[in-house]
Amino acid sequence: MAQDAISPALSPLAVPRGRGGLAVFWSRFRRNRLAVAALSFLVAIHLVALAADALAPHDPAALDLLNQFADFSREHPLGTDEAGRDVLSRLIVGSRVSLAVGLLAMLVSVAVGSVIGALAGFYGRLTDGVLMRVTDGMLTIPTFFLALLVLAAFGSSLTNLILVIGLTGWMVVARVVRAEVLRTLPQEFVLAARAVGSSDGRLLVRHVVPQAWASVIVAATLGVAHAILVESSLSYLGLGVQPPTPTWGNMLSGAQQYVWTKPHLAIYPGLLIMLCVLGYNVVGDALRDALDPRASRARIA
Amino acid sequence: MSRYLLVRVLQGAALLFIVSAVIFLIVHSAPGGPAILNNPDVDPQTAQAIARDLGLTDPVPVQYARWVGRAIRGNLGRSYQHQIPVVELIANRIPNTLILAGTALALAVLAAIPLGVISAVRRYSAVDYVATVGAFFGVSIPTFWLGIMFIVLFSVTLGWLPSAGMRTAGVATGVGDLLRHLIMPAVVLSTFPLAQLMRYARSSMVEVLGQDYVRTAQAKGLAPGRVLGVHALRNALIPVVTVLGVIIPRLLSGAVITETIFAWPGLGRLAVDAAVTRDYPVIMGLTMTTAVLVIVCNLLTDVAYVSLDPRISLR
Amino acid sequence: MANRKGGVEMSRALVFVLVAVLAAAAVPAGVRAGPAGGNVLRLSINGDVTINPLTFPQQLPTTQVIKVLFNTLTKYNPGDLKVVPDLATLWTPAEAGRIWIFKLRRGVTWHDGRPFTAADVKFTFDAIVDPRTRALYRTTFTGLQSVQVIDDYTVRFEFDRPYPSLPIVVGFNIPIVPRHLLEGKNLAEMPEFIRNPVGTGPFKWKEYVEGSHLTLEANPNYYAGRPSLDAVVIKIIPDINTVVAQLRTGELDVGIIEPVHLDSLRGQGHLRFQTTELPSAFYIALNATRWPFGDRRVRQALMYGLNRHQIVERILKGTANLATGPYARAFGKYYNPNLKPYPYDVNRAKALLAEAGFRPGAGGLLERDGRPLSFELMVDKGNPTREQIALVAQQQWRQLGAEVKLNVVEWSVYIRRGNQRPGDYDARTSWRITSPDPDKTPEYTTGGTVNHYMYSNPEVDRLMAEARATFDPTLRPRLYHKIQELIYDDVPVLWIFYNSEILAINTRVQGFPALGLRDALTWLNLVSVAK
Repeated sequence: MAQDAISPALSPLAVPRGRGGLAVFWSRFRRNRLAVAALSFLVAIHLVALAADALAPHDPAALDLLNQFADFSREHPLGTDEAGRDVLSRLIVGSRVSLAVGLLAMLVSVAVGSVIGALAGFYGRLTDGVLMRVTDGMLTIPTFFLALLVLAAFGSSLTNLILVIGLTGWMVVARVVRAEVLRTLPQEFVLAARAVGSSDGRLLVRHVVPQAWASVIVAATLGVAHAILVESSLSYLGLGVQPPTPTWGNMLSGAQQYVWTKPHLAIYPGLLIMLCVLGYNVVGDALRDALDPRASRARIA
Repeated sequence: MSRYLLVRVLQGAALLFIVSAVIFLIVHSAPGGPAILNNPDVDPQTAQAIARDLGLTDPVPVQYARWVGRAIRGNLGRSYQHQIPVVELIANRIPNTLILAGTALALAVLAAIPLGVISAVRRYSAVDYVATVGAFFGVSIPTFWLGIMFIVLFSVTLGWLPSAGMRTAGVATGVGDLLRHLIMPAVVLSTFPLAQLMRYARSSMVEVLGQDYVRTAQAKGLAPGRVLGVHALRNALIPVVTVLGVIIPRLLSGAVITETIFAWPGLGRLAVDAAVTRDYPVIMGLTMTTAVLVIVCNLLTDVAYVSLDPRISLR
Repeated sequence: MANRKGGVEMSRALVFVLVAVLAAAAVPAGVRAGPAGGNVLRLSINGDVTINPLTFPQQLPTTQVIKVLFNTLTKYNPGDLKVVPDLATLWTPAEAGRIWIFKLRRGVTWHDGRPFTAADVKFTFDAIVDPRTRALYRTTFTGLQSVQVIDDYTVRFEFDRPYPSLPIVVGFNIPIVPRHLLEGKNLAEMPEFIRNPVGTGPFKWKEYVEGSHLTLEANPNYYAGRPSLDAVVIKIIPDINTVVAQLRTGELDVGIIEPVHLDSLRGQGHLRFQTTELPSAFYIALNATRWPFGDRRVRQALMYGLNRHQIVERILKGTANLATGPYARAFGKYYNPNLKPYPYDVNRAKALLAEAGFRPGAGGLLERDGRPLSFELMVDKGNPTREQIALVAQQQWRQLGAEVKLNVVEWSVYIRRGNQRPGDYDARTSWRITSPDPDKTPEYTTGGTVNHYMYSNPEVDRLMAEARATFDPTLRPRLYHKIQELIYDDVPVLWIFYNSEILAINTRVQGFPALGLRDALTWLNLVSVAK
């Protein structure tokens, strides 16, 4: 919900039903030129992250103290940092860690949120009451403080970081899934499945939850943006991914020391974080528009 | 109304109880322990004695029961690091955080709603386009980076604003001095909620403008200003007020970073220090304080929500 | 414009919410007046303080502020760190240093006007050795048997064995506290005293705004005369980048900076830099109980195989000197100037490892008895300089055929694993800050309390015991020189450089002593600022 979404969902989301639903969706999405640009950027940066080892011209951890703060050159297209490491290689390899943190944290959020939302919506009554109070409670806690606390206590390993960001960001998904489940339950095909004696589990997994995927994708997209930003903030407080593993967050936070003399060291990772977060936000917003059955009017592009 | 309030207060109390138990368990089950015991200059026997004094050698449930027993009577214990009562420590800083977060929220609301309305009314205009793109940037910039850039630009390069602190230390100061110190952190902290609120205001305004009754009012020839003011804006604000409830905890989270960069003496900075030094009583006290703050703010937004929308009543 | 009109007619309820928020925001923040005018020195510390001069909570910032508010019996002279009088004017040993008579300064008063006497000194030391106090530096005085008041201005210390270093030791973080305010109180926490601490120092407590700053005002009755500054303002700034920004803008007069900030501050006409070598070395500790660090040849090989000169030049920007052992130049005559730093010599390193029985094995790693040369290097989290040094070591030792597994850990983990005997680590980056006392019995003798590396050399044990009981002004330095030679060959830890502290000082500040910040703070009565 609002924790991640930049603008509100006004109605349940769904891929237009019937033949060519995806095509209709795509034609709507494609009209938003900003979103198409953002999507292209995201695809490109993820491909880079996947092929990071092959693409990085140097070992991102290789120090060269005789070559600190080198200028741009053939050897080092973006120069070197304070320890003589190749900035381009660090950005490339860092992209993999940063995006992995974002995506995996989002997966954790989606998994937890879907289960909670589905159970709450499906069983209703007490289950719903308890689970939704828990969800509200989580929305009440400044989750960043919680993340900070846990990482300071248990150490900021990559796993801890992903779990903490994921487990403090599932509430949005839970609410969305619950709403979709409540919408789906009274529909005919669900009633029919129930009539032929489908078990609760089967009913949920096969018929009800799949109906929520459109909304979940939107929430997930925005969740990635959120997770990447949180990782960079935690890095600033020294609780992000620890060196020598490069991430955009810890590169940016490390570059603060040189902001007066070598501002470009901070600009690259800062720009990449911003562009990726921007990309995910724009795409998420556009997905929502394209999936909103009522929003058939064209949006700005 | 009063019954509703009672229920909400009881719910809030239950929530506080659960949150406190969870946080207590998390902080006490972590390896390492408080920084006061991990000082290389403290010999092991002394560290052991300090741990015993503080009751840290008892089982965690016993410690939690003791904490709850005291907390109910308003005693949140004494900070390990500051050695003064946690209540006093927090009371000293709450006003500072409220000034910062309150100003940021006010800035966000005051700028976001008119901007959102203009964007909605002039949909697809240059204003709308710039505001939309601006909002996307607003939610995508890492806060600490923006803060550092502000210091570099406005303090160091231009010399317009003080780089940190809440007032000029050591000299007589007035409200003007406070405001000068407040501008940068408040603007930085307001960026995210501003962008988010702006988008909400725009979306719901667009929605409302498409509604039949607004069209009818327009068709009846009501002045455009009246249509907007009386019919549209009021309804458009409802979802915006709802989202405030989620923005407030987020502001408190953002304050952690903003206060660190600008050396602002608020709760956020205290939270970072307490987390890093494992100052258990302070961590617990802060958790309770922020939870109460958020619960109260949510209650206020709900009341505002009802006042805006006569169709909803609190029962 | 229509929509602006709409904005004006904002719903009353929203106004209500806003008013509520603004009302909350308008709670007075306690805007209080401080001393006016510019005759004020502005310093910074990195966190809040709790002025308990016995237990030192929030250690670093508290220690710094205590240096200004309180006095010690002795202190260190700018430049050479020689022990000079502070609250004590004369000290004479008896029974070969087992007994010390300290003559105290007359006419010193506490900030509340009460006279300072020998009873305060006795009270302070009795409190430190009392285990219930939980005093931070208790172990320094474990051999203290009694403190006697001979008269109001004479104190007699009696130890269980000779303690020639006493005059040096009492100058280091042993502030004398007022008996009349603390007697019979809870000394471990001092709930009242910390709100209004009373010392004898050149500046007295005026105002403390938590999380923001402290104001200390000149003590007109200071024993060395009224300070020339009207006040010292100590700002609490957690982020070092903000410190650098405030030094640039002139909002701070003095600040400790890291070598990386030198480039950004050079060329600022209003700043000068003062680099001071501290009596402290930075090193990589090797745990002798962990394979293969029990073998001296391996330790020496790692020393030869580490380009420490490059580390100092490149990472520390040449602001420090290469170390030859635990005794820095700041130890004065106890520093052995004849030792030369181990050179960087990869071939020598490889030869030593071969001599120790290591042969090339799988994956390019050396191995002995089928076991690859691989170990953990533990680094505390959050300091870029230390992290970089560890990375350099990892890379350079890889050239020798050794695999280093870096482990960057939380401070609490670092302390807990490191500060036991033997330490729970293979290798770790480390440093110790001590007084300029040359006695290193706890660190380098067999079974020493902070000998986490489990170093043991009977000859060093013997010499250390002899030296700590020796007064002879020529013999004592000779003994310590000999100790340094032995330790130099044994390489119990890999010294890299002597720690230096870089201060950026505004040129308007005059008379700032040539000392590290902590020691300089004991001389603030001599500092002035240009109008």
